[in-house]
Amino acid sequence: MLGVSCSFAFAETAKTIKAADLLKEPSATATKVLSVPSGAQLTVSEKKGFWVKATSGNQTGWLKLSEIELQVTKAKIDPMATGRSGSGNIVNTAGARGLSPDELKSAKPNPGAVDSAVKVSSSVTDADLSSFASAGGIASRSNVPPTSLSKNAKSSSTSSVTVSSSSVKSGSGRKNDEW
Amino acid sequence: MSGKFLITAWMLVSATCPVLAADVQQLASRLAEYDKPAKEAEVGYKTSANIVGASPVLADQAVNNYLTLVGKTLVKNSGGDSYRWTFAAIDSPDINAFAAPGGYVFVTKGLLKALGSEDEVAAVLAHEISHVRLKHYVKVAKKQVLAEYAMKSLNEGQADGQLEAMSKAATLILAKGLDKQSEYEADFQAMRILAQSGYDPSALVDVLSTLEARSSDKGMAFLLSTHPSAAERIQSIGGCCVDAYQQYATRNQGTRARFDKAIKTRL
Repeated sequence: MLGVSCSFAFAETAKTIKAADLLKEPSATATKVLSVPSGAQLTVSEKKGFWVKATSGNQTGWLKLSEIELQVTKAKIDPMATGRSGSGNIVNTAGARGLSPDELKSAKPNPGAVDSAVKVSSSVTDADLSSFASAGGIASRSNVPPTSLSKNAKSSSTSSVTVSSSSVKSGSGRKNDEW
Repeated sequence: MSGKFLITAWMLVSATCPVLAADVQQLASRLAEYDKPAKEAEVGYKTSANIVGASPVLADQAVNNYLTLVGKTLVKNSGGDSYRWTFAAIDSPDINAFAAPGGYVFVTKGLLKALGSEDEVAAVLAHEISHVRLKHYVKVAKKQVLAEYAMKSLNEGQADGQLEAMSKAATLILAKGLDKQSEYEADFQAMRILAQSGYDPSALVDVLSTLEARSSDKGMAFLLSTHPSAAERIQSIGGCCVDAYQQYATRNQGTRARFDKAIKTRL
């Protein structure tokens, strides 16, 4: 697949939203590298699950996603790399089909393929699930607290994440009530 | 049906055409039937036929079987429901996943290839399961169909007409995307499903980090046009559940070999 990658770089920074400790490892029990106050500016270099590796000054350590506000700045896109302008620069995936919104809207329905997929999934029994779970060591957990829509999510396009972009428009600017 | 929307539609219609207003209310009550899982599934079946009409189901049944095992484990371990679930891969290099009403979930081969563990496969499926359980597409489709009827573009007399209109609306919503709030809601619900099911909820953040790193890939364009940015989604998860769910954030090592066999070395 002739994908396009790295046509723009992420310069990701973050700001602490509370006083936090940078830890040596992504683990609550790891040694503290440095304490930073609320509002400290950090440079993010890596993410791992709920942990973010960040640098403050010349000290690097891990802190929790809940302790920071991410600030993403997309550098300017190289039009040559995206295949969006100029002739001869169109990037394609040879032999493999993409799936665009227009292709979805104008698709010729294929109910037979749905029937086949339903058949495969229907053949998986409860006994299959039990052996699959035990073979993989997957055990259900009880009393998991519910998650609720956080204040962050409700206003995240404007306040909790700063995404600035010079020339890419994503669908994220849509208003909730467009429908 | 959202009461607020119904009142707005009614006011709009009654202002211009008093006779139609009663018809709109009638159609609204008929569309309420589509809250039932069996009726949702009728819409989902037709919507799925459009999805796999646009891009075929992956011929490798071992992959589809594996997705079904992971997907149905999530459904079962998070309390179960009354949907008949179908999970399948679609043969597209794009990075995307789709849910259709009533229990249909499709993941592209491109997205599966970008994932690194069974926990991450579970994270993608849990997000889609959440869209179905929260009835996101059905809710918006009902609004659309009612709005279309208010504009007199739908023949509401036939039951088939309504099913056709609902499926068409659901397909258009898949193409255009839900609102951001619904995507965050599906992420949060997915976190809980993962935790309840014995999977690692932090795997969803890892999937989003992968999407973020690849956001300039050509195969990401559709997903990016229909979802908030990965960074926004990661941030909202940071606000919703990181502290409470830290205790469940442990990668399942016992699933490594079968993930490699079913996905990593196969696709």
